[in-house]
Amino acid sequence: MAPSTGRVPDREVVHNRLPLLRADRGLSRTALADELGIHYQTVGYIERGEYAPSLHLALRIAAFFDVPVEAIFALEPFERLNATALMAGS
Amino acid sequence: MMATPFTLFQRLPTLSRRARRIAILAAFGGYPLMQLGYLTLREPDRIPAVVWGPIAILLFSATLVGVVAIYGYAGRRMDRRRNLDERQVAMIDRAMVLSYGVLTAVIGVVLGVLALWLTFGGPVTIGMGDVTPFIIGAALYEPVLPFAALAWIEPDAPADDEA
Repeated sequence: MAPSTGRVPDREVVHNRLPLLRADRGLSRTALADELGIHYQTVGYIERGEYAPSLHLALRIAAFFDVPVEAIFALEPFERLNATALMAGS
Repeated sequence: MMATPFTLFQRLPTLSRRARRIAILAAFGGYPLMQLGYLTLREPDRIPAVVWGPIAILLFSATLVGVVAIYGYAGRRMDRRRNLDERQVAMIDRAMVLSYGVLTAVIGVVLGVLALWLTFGGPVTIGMGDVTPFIIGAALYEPVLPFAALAWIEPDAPADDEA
């Protein structure tokens, strides 16, 4: 985990990789929302960074995709996927 | 298929933020403008009743249409809080805080103006005729204020379904 910089963000923005994971599983927003028991618009707002989910919901999303929560949510923007990262994952 | 009033009402929860804000401005602008227009134009007989009538109907209709649009957007959600998810509940809480903050500010301003008037302008006589528009305004707007706050602050909804 990255060490804290002590910087206070202007706005509570939580970056996420939810659209990537959702597309990877071929799930629509509605399908994912139904699995999680939330409104489909809430999935959209989370993806757009306009709503930061509670810790409970973030952990449930992580459990659903079977990945660590920090693989989906982060305080800093995720690095863009590039060939090196993809090759390292294969 | 032709849209009936019922199908239009069913579509209100999907209103864009821009449309919602126009509805809020219409709702909260129409009635005060009607009262102001009556006091400044009709009562001193600056414009004839035949001209003022349609204007008053138009302004009051704007208020009614706006209130219905606001209630149609947010009302059903706020009435069924138990079935909402955490984001929807959080939005309603924010709307409540905003609406009662605004209400407190309005009451504070009205009392402040009244206090200044009494201090520097001397005693005032307030009759039922002076108070009635404010009572109607309060009865009209106070219940719809949290709904309006929610309709004002909520961003545009994401697309229904995207793979």
